[in-house]
Amino acid sequence: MSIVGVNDKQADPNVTDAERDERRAEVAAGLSRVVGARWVATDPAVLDTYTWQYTAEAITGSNWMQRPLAVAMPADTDEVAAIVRLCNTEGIQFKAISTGFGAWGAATEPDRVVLLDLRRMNRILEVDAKNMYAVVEPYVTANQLQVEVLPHGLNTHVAGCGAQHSVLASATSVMGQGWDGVSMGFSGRNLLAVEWVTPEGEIVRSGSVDASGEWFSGDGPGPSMRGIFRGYAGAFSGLGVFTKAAVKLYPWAGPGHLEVTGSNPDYMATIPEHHVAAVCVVDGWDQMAELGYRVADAEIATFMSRNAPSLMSGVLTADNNTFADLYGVPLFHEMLYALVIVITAESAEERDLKVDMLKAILSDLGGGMLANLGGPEEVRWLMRAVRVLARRIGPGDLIRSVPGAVRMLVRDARRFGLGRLSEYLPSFMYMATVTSGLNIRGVFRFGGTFWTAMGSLVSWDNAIHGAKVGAQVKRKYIDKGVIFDDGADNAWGGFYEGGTYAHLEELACYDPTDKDAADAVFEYVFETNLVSIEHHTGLPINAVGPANSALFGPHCSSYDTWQDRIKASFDPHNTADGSFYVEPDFTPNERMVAGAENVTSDRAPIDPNAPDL
Amino acid sequence: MTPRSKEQMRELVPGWEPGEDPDSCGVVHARTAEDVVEIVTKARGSGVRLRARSSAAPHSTVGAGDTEAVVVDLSELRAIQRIDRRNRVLLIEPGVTFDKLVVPLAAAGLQAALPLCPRPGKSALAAWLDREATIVPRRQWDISDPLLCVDAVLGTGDRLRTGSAAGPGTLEEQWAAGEAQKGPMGPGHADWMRLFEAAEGAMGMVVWASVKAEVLPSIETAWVAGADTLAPLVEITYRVLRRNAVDICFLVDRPTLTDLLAVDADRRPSVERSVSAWNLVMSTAGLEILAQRRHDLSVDIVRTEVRAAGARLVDPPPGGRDRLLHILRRPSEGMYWRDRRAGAHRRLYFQTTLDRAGQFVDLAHATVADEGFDRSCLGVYVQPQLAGRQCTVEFLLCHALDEEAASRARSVATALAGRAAAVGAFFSRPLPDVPVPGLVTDATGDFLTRVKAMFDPQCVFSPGALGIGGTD
Repeated sequence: MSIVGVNDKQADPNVTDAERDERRAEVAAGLSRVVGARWVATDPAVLDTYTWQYTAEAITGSNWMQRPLAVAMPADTDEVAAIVRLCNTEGIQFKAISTGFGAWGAATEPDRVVLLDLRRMNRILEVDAKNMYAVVEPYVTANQLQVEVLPHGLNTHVAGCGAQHSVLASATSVMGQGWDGVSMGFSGRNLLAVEWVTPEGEIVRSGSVDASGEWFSGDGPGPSMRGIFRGYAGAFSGLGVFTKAAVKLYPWAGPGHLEVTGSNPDYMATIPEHHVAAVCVVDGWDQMAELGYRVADAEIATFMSRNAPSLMSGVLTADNNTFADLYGVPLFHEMLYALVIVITAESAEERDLKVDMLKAILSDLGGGMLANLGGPEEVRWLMRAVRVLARRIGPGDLIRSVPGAVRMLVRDARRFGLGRLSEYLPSFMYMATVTSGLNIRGVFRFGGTFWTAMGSLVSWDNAIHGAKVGAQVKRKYIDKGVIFDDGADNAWGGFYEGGTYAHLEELACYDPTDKDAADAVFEYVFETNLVSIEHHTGLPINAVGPANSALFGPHCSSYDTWQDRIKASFDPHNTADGSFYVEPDFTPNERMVAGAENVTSDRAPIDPNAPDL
Repeated sequence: MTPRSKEQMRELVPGWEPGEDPDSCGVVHARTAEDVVEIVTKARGSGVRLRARSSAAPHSTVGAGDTEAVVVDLSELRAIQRIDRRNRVLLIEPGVTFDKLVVPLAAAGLQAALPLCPRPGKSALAAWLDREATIVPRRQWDISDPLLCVDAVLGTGDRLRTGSAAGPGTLEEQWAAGEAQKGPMGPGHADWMRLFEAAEGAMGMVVWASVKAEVLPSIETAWVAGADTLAPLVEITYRVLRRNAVDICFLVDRPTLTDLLAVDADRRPSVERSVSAWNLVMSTAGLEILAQRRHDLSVDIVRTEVRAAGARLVDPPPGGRDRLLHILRRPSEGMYWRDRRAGAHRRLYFQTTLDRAGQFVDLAHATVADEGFDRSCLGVYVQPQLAGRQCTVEFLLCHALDEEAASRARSVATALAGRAAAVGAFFSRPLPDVPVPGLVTDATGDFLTRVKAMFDPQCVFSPGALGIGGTD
C-alpha cells in the first residue's frame, strides 16, 4: 500500500539556519516541559533516522523524506494532547507514528512538523476473552497481541505488511488488508471504541467507552465517529492521534502456542491437529473466481488468499538464488491460479467435514491441492494438482520441472530432515499465513523494495478484473526493464468478512537506488490509477492523499470535497500533517506533473477480455 | 417557520399535499431519487424543513413536536433494484418493506438479515440504517451490517454515494465489470455510510442501499434451550457462537417468547405454560455442500454445550420447530408480536455485553416493582451482536391502547433508562422520546454538530433530531 503525490514544500528561504535552530530549540523546550528532555530529540543525526523511509524514492525522487522539527516520545494520552495543543499554539504541525511502514510516517515539509513517536505507549491494556476484544496502545504489535491471545482461544487480524505492525495504527489510521480477512475481517472494520486526541488537542472517547467506560462499541450514540476518521484508507494521522483502541478478536480453534522449528530465516511449523493448509490449484481465472465464491459460501476457510508464483516463491525462500531456483521450475512458475486455504477445526469431525467440502468444490472445478491430508488422499490430491499444472505447461515443461523440483526437495530435506519433507510446503504456507511473520520478504528482497497498485475492496469478480488489467499495465514497465520481472501477474489479495468483499493488489518490485525505477514506479502507480477509473475496478489502494483524492473525487461522488470539509471542520488550523490525507494548500509538484505527462503520452495497451496468461 | 398558505407550500415544495398528519406540515411523495433532490433543493432555499418517512404506519416520533416539518414520503421508492446470488447482495430503495423481501430473495437462494419478526410494513432500509439488531449474530461482522453502500441526498442537495458504489463508474458500468457494490468503506479517508446511520434522517435521505444477504440454508432447524435463570443460557450463547454452530441466536423470557409464538390470543395460556422462564432460541443450518453433515455437526455442538451448561433443549410449542422457524424467518404475522400481550407497547433498548445482561434484567424487575408497573407486562429480549461481542438488551413494556397507559409506560421507561444509563447501559441508537441522562456528552454533541453543519448547513432535515429519536 502506498501513495503517490505529496506537496513539494521547501524550507523557507527567508529563514536563516540560526533562526531555524533557535525555533527548534524553543519548540524542544516546550516539548521537554511536557514529556521531559530525555524524550525529546532534536539532534540532526537522530532526526534523519526518521526521514529514511520505505517508498520515499518514488514519492520524493530521493530516498529521504523531510527532516522533522523535533521528535517527542510521549508516555500517555495526556502528554499526546499537551503536545498537540502546543503545536496549535506554536503554529506548527504534528504527525504521529507507531511502528511505521513507509513514507507516510514522515514529514513532507522541512522543519515544521513535530513527530510523535509513540513507541513508549506499548501496553495491551485489556483482553476481554469472553467478549472477544482487546484494548491496546499504539505500539502494541500484531505479533505481540497474537501471542497474548492465542492461549485464550482467540486470534487477531494481522495486516499484510507483517506481524510487526501496530494493531492500533492499522485499525484506526491505515488500510488493513491481510491473509486472514475471510475469517478476521479488515482492520478498519475491527475497530470498536477508541480514545482520540483531536487535531485541536481535545481527548475524545467514542461510543461505549464515552458512555460507560467499557470498550465494546465504537458506534453511537447516533451516527458513528468512525465515519469521520477511518474510512477505507484511514487518515494517516492527518486528523489527530489515536491513543487507545479496542479491536475485535476472533475465535482460534488451535493451540495456545505454535510449535516452530528451525532458525532464521528458515522455519517450519508443526500444523496443529485438525488444521489443514492447502494450496488449491485450478485452471484459470474463471475457475479461480468460482473457487473463491464457493469456498466463501461454504464458510470453511479461516485463511484464504491468492499468492502468485513470484510472491509464493519469494516467501518460501530465504535468498534470491534459492528463489531463482524455485521460480525457475516450470511447475511452480506456472502455478498462477491457486488459493492458499487454511482450515482450522476443533475436532476431527469438523476438520473432515470442511476438507470434504473443499474436495467437493475442487472436484467440481477440476482442481487439485497440495495439502497435509495424510496418506493416499494427500498423494491423490497432489497428483490432481500436478495434472492441472501439466495441462497448463505441457509434458515437456513437466519433465523439465523434475531436476529443479528434486533440487529443492533435497535442499529442504537437508534443512528439516527427510521425514518432514512431504509436510514442508503446507507447513510453511501454514506458518506464513497464520503468523504473517515472513511474508513481506517475498516482495522486499528482489529489488530492495516494492510498491503496489489496484487492490480495491470490491466483489471477487471485480478484484479479478482489476488483477487482469493491472498486470497488463505492469507488463509495460517490466518490458522497459525498470521493474522486476515477476511475470506481470503478481496480484496478491484475499477475502474479507466471509467473502463479502475481496481485494487483489498488483505488487511491483524494484530497486530503490535506481532513479529510473523510482520514476517508473511513480508512473506505474499513476497509470494503474487511471485504468481503475477507466475499467471500473473500484477505488484502488493508492487512492490516498490529496493528489489522488483530486484524481478520483470527480469519478466518485466528489468525495474529495467532503473530505476537505471534514479536515476544515475538525482541524481548522491545519495542525495535523495531512500530507497523505487532506492538505488544504496542496498543489502538484513538477515531478508529479512530468510523470503524469509521461503516462498519458504512452499508455499501456489494455484488453480487459484478454485470455489468461 | 413563517406560516404559509397551501399555495405557497405547493410552490416551495413541488407535489406538496396538506396531508392528515397533525404532527407535520403536510407531505410530499417522492417517486424517484431525483424527486428527493428537487424537493431538498427547493426546501433549502425557502426555510422549509423536511423529515423522511418510508415505512407504513406507525411512524417515527422524531420531529413530531415540530409541526412545521414537511414529511417526505419515500414509500413509493420501492424497487428492489438488484438481487445478486453470486455476490450475496441486494440493492433496494427505502420503500421496500420486509414483507416484500422474503419471497424474491428466497427465489434467488438468499435470505435477508432480519430483525426479530419486524413489522411487515417496516422499511427494511430504514431498520438497517437505524442499526436495528438482527437475529443471526455470527454473520454480523460490523455493527452496520447488513448495510454496505448507500446513496444519500444531503441537505445541500448533493448526492453522496458511499463505499465501492461511489465509483468509478455508474452502477451499470460497475455491474458490467463484476462489481456488486460490496465494499462498505469509504470512498477515501472517511466512512460516509456511518454518518447516516442512526441519524433519523438528520444527515441525509438515503435513496438506495446495497445490503448483504445470506445463503438460504437447504436445511435449518430451530431449537430452544430452556432454563430457570438467564445465566446458563448466556454461557451457552457464548460457546455456540464461538463455535459458529448456530445461525439464529437470541434470548427471551417466558412472556416474550409467548408473545412471539402465540399469534392467536386464545392460545396464549397454553403457550405460556409450555415455555421456560428463560429461553435461548437458536437455529442450526446446512447450506449447500454437504448440508446435512454440516447441520448435524452443529446440532451435536449445540447439544453438548446445552448439556454442559446444565440447561435443557425443549420442544418448541406449539407446532414444533418448523412453526418456530417459520415465525422467525419472516416478518410478524397477524397482530404485531410486540402488541399481542396488551394491545400496545413501548421499547427500551441499549447495548451492553452478554455477561452484563442479567444485571440489567434485575434492574428492570426492580424498577417496574418500584414504579408499580405490572410485572407481567414486562418482557425481556437479549439479542447477541457481532458474534457475541456485545448485545442489545430490549425491555418491552406492554400496555393498553389508552393514553394513560401509554403515559405510564413512558414514565417507567424513563425511570429505567436513567437507572440503566447510570450503571453502564449504552444507548447507541434512536430511542423513541425517552430522555436518557448524559446520553450525548460534550464530545459526541460536538461531533454531531460539526457533521450536521457539513451535510445539512441550513438544517433542512429532521428538525429536533440529531441522532436521537425513533420507533420500530
